[in-house]
Amino acid sequence: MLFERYGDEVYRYIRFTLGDQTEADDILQEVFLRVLQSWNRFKNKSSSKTWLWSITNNCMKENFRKRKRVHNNVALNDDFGDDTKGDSTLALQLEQSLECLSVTQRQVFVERIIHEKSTAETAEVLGWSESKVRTTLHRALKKIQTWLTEGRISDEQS
Amino acid sequence: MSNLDDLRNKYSALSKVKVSDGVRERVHKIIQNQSTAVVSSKSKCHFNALGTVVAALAAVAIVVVGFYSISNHTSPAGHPSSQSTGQTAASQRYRAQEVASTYGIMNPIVTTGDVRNITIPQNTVYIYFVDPRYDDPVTKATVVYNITLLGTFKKGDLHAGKLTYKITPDAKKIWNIVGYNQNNRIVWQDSELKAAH
Repeated sequence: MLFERYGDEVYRYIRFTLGDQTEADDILQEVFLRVLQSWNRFKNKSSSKTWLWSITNNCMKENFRKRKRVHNNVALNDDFGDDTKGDSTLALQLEQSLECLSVTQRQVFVERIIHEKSTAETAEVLGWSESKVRTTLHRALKKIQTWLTEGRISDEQS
Repeated sequence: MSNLDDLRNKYSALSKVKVSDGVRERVHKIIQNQSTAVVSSKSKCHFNALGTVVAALAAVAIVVVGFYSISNHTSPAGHPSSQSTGQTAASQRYRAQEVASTYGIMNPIVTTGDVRNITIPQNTVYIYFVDPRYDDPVTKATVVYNITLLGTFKKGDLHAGKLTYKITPDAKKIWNIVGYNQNNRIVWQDSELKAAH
């Protein structure tokens, strides 16, 4: 089932792109509701993962339209799950660092850095060209490097 | 180690973030319940296969409300599309009544201007507005309803009790509202409703 297979990945993608955990929770369930509703219309023209990401991106776009503003505020809390309990402070700081990125930069950063996808895979799921992925990532990395070199993550934690 | 690898290493903590157990459970229930609700609307062709499969597995509370009125037409029987869809509308209405009566919901058919109170059980609930025109090849693209919730309900409300709503004609695209109640939390699946509340 798609949720079991990609649920966490989709969740991270939404959460770190939007920067809002509660909203990510809601959009995640909406995504999988739509997957269920439109499953019979899935034509296998693309991979199920690409299809899933297109639904996810559509849900996020709708969310942006409704809010009529770009999320730049990161609603943080320390709910990072059991696997990261020891690193929760670091994880909080890392998530906070994404604030300096634009939405598109976050999208590509999550896919390329956090999910460790290739440029081609990222381009496929985002529906972008590979050159756009590379350019956007390049800009994102510059911002993140600046953020990091300003010492907002302490050396001992990183 | 390349710059990219270095960053991946640094951000590896974020790659461990997962869907919380509560949300995971909620999504599972929504998927399960949506599948069940689908069964109640078999004329929706794109749901048929999945709905049929899941039908045997589902055991959740469902409220199905047949919704047959639009704009100037307030009587289900007088609605042109009800006539044009013939058996489909009738079978949907029957199904709505059947499912609703299973859960003690009397008179589930609603029309424009109706104000209703529905007692929401403690567990999962669906309020499903069945549009009989869905299968109408001429009019299916222009389903226009608006539903106004009366009271203090809004997305994320802690809630257990009565949902009051009023149906009004409006050029909005609402045709299906799903209310989901788990841990006393209502989550409105309909995007327009979310925006309004």
